[in-house]
Formats: sequence, C-alpha cells, structure tokens
Amino acid sequence: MAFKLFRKKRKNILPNVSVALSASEADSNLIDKRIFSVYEITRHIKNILKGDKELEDFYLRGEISTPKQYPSGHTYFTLKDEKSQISCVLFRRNAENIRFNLEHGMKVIIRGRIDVYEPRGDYSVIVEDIQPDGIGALNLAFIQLKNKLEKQGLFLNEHKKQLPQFPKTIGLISSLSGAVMHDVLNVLKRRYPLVKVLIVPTPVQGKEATNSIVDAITLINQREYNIDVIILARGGGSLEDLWCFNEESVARAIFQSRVPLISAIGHETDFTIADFVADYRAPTPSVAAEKATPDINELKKLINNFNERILNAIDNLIKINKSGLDQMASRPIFRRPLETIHAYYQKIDSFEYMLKAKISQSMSLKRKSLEISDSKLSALNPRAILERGYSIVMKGDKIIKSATEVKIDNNINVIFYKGELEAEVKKIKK
Amino acid sequence: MAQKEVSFEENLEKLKKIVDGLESGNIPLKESMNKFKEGTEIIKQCYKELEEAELKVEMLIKKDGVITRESYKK
Repeated sequence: MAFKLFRKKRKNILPNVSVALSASEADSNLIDKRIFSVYEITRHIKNILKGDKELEDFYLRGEISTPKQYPSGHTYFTLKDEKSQISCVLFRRNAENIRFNLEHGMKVIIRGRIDVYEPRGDYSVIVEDIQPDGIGALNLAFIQLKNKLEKQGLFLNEHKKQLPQFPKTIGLISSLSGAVMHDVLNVLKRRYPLVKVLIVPTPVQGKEATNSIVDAITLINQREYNIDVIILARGGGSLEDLWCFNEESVARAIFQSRVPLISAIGHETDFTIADFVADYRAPTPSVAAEKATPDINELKKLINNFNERILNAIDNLIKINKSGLDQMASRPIFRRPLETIHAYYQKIDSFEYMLKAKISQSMSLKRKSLEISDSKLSALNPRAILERGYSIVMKGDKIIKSATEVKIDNNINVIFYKGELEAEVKKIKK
Repeated sequence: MAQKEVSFEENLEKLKKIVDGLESGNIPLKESMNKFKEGTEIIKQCYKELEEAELKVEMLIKKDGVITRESYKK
C-alpha cells in the first residue's frame, strides 16, 4: 500500500512519466538513496564537521560542570551555559600546559575544535587551551596551589626553622646575572664578613629555572657543604617572570630543605608560593642578607660590653676579697692577740681555784670520817676501859674470864689502868 | 691554628659563661683569676677576628654532571 501511494505520488509529481518507467525509476531512486551503515553516517557527519573552518579552531565561553580526570591523564567535562551544554575533552598532552585544575562551576574560555568520537557517535570539543574567564590563568594557578599547600600544612609556623644567629656558611641560590649577587654580597661584606658564601648559580626565569632551583636547593642541603642558612633570591619581575617560584616542585623542595631558607623574590609587594613555604620571607635580597647575619658593629658592641663586664667583675672580686681580708685582719685576735691569752689565763686561774676548792672539800670530808673512826676505835681500846676502873686478870699469857680457870695458890697478874700487881689466889668463890 | 677552629659563636658563648660566672662571685679567687685571663684572651681574639674578617665567596658549578667548587669573581 505504501508503495502504491508512493507511485501515485510520483505520478503526480512527474505526470509525464509512464507507470512502467516510474516503477523502475522508483527502484533506481531507492538505490541512489543508498543505505548507510551507522559507521558510514557517523563518518559522514564527522567529515562535514571537520570540513567546517569555523569548527576547526574556535573559542568557547561557558561554565565547567562535573570535570573528571581519568588515570590516563585525560579530563572529561561538560561546558554549560543557560541554554545548552556540550561535552569537552582535555587530553593529557594539553592538560600539562594548564597550570590550574579544572573545578566544577568554574567559568572558562576554551580554545578548541570539534571532533566526533565515532564509537559513540558523540561530538565534543577537543580542548587545546583553557583560561579562566575573568581572572588570569597564572593568578588562578597561584591561588589554587596556595590553597592546596596551605591545606597540606606547608605554610604552618610549626614547620618554620629558626635562623642561626651566627652562620658560618650561607648558601646563596640565585642567578649570576642581575643585581642580586651584588646586593647580597655587599650587605654581607659590610655586615658580617666572617661568613663564607657558597653560591649555586641557577636560572631564575624560564623553562629550566624550576628544575634548576629544585636541584640547587637539594644540592646545597647536602651535609658536606655545611650550610647554616640558604638565601633563595631573585630580583623583581612580572608574575610570569617569577613564575618558577610559584611551582609546586620548588615549594616542596623548600619545605623539605633541612637547612633554614630565606626567600627574597621580586620586590616588596611580590609574594610567591616560595615565600609562603620559606622559613623567613625577606622583602628584598638585601634584607635577606641582613636577616641571615648579625651586624658586625653590634658584635663589636657586644664584645665591648663583655670586656667591661669582665673587668668590672674581676675588680669587684678583688675588692670583695680585699675587704674580706681587711675584716679578717681587724678581728681582735689579730689586733690584740694578748687579750685572748689573758682570757685564757683567767680561765686557768679559775680552774685552779675550783680545783683547790674541790680538793679541800674532799679533805675535810675525809678528816671527818677519820675522826669518827678514831672515836669508835678509842671506845674499843681496853686501856680506855681500864681507865673507867676495870682490871684485867691474867695467868701467864692467858686472860682469866672465869674463877674456875685458877686454883688456890696460883700466881696471877692483875693489870690496872696504871700499874700492875702480882697476887696469889687465896680463896675461890664459885 | 687550634684557636681558629673555635667559631665566633662558641667564643661568645664561652665568654658569656665566664663573665656570668665571674659576676656571680661564686668562683674561688684563684680560679676567677684564671677565668679572667681566659676571658680577656677570648675578647682579644674576637676583636681580631672581627677586624680581620674578609668575606669568602665560592661557587658550586655543575659541569657535565660533576660538581666543582670555584672561587667567585665578579
């Protein structure tokens, strides 16, 4: 039915063609309108799009939506505006030139071309370059890296190493051309000529600068060089000129530096990522040199001060010792030595007196006890008894105590207190 | 030469200790006199170092992967 209708239609359009012809023509028409494969039509579309000069290289403004980076390094995202959206691919080789990360909602201007991905029949923008819309790419990259490193704690005060007060060797990383060397060395010469300077020359601008600075920091950190403090310096320049000091690898090298590092990059108003990570940020290279060293004039004052103090101290010490000696010499023992001896004499006298008193006391006690003993003794003396009128009768050598001890006519002796007599026993009374 | 090996900083440190010690008056006289002698020697040496110091500048140059020390000439 459909076919018939078709034929009729054709007839109407081409009324002068016969039916038979029209049938064969319809067939040939069908062959002319050949049947494409999906691949063929996709290829065809691709060729048309590729043939369009406008689509070969264009700028596109929009807002990034849901960027996703794959392990391959390619990033896929959708670019949107109020009315439409288009998918975009940022291949790794192009991504490497882009210094900031793509974020959802970020307004950008893309330079790119249209391509068709045949396996899926998708068309998308192949991104060649991408710039933040409204803010410079470098600025954005700076802000992003600063945020990232800040979050990782690279700027924290607790990581800042203390600068040495009296450095023996300073490592100076900078370019040999330009005023930095001259400025820094001049300050050091005037301020602290005791120090040694070890320069590691490096480009501080351009492609090699980043790696060269990282290498220099790593090299000078080696212990054999005995560096006490590093100055990383560069003169003023545009944000692009100073860019290597905003590179992550430089920031990490500074963070990992064992030796304290002073950054002095650009002018006073320039701040780089390196400045944030450095242990101390100097506004200019000259200030960095001042910060790294003590002032020789201050040191001379300090030594002078020590000199005065040591003289005063020893003077005082001598005075104190002398006055101690004077005091000692003014004591009585040294002034009137005999006085002390006299005191001893007195003591001896008093001892003597006490000794005598003690002795006489003990003598009188003894005497008394002797008298007592004597009176006791005399009470017992037989002569004392005889004195009281008693007599002793003896027969030969024997004292007679009983009448029975003698016989009539025995001779006995009677002893009196005074005198003695011989008698004969006449009568015995029992 | 042996004295040269003591850094300025170490000398200052020593000096500070000596002066503090002497000022405290807790050191016996004889030892104090020795310390005083030592202190004045260090002071002399520090002065000398400050007066005679001359900035030494060298460079580390990498040539064909080999690092050499060179003196720096402006």
